[in-house]
Amino acid sequence: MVRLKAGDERAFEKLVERYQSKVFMIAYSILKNEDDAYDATQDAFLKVYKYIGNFRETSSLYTWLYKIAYHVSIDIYRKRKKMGATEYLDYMDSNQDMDTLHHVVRSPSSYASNNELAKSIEESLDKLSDQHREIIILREMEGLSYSEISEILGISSGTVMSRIHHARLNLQKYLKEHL
Amino acid sequence: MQNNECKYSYEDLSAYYDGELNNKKMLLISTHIDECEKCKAYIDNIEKTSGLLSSYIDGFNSSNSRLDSLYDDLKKKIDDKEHLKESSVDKIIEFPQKRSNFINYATTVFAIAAILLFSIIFVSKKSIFSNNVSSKVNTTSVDSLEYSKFNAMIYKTKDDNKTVIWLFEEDSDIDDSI
Repeated sequence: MVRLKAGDERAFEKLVERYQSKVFMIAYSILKNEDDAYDATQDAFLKVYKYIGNFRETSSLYTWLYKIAYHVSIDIYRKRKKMGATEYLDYMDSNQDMDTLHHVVRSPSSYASNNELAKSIEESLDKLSDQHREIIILREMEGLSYSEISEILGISSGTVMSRIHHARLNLQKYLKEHL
Repeated sequence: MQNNECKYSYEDLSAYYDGELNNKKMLLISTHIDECEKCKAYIDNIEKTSGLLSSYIDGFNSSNSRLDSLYDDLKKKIDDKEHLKESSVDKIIEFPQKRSNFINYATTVFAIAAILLFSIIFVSKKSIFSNNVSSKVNTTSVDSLEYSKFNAMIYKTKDDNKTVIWLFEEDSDIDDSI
């Protein structure tokens, strides 16, 4: 942490290596396409780099990092939503060639498209409401505690407990044939 | 959500699986699960779902070679000073600044002073209002009076000793009956 705050690039590189997959997963769960998730992951780490000097260590570094990743992803999601479908396609068109576009607009991830179970899990996650998907990712995939989730999402621990239960119930319903 | 057949709710069982209950409750539920088929089945289902999600994330991460270049891309952006650009998220996320002891002390003093000032103003306003009412009841028609923030008052007039009950809504004209 001391090295990070002092601007040590090697320490920052290690932080990126350690958490990039987890941050990417949070972003992907919200944005549901890999390119936007990649941008959000970059943005989140850039903000950590910029603001690490102000980090007061009242929470753990990864809770802080996840909180940033969550808000960055939500911000991108809202911007895309405001854009509307046609503008979004134009935006993607201007940034990527058509082969990539096809993949990005409606994506199962590259992993899921080659794996039936993964595809089914991804579709089930897609069916969940935004709130349920976020909380399942933070708890089941990132392994965060209720108090960490409560801090990241800005909700009480009681709400976390209840929301996790309902999210699990819905997920079990969608994944019934695999249980 | 209530689990009708058991004393523990599904939320409790879910939190038990996550190890988020206090030691006493963890122990009680652990003992209960050994005896209750329904609760055991519920926990088993959570476990299976978690297993599926874990295998999904492992496969997802190992197949995602794109992140290999993340640090290099970040380095380029940092060198180009892109991290210095402001975005709306900077305002949303709390990036706390370190505050000196002096600022903390000054904030506390200011808060106490504000509370005291507010109390003094509130008490004096209430007193002025009461005085106005007693004089106006004796001298003018109450139909034209307007008072705010008080929903009802019971008052005795000085001259004929009748009881006056005023009912009125906030910021509205007074309805009175004598």
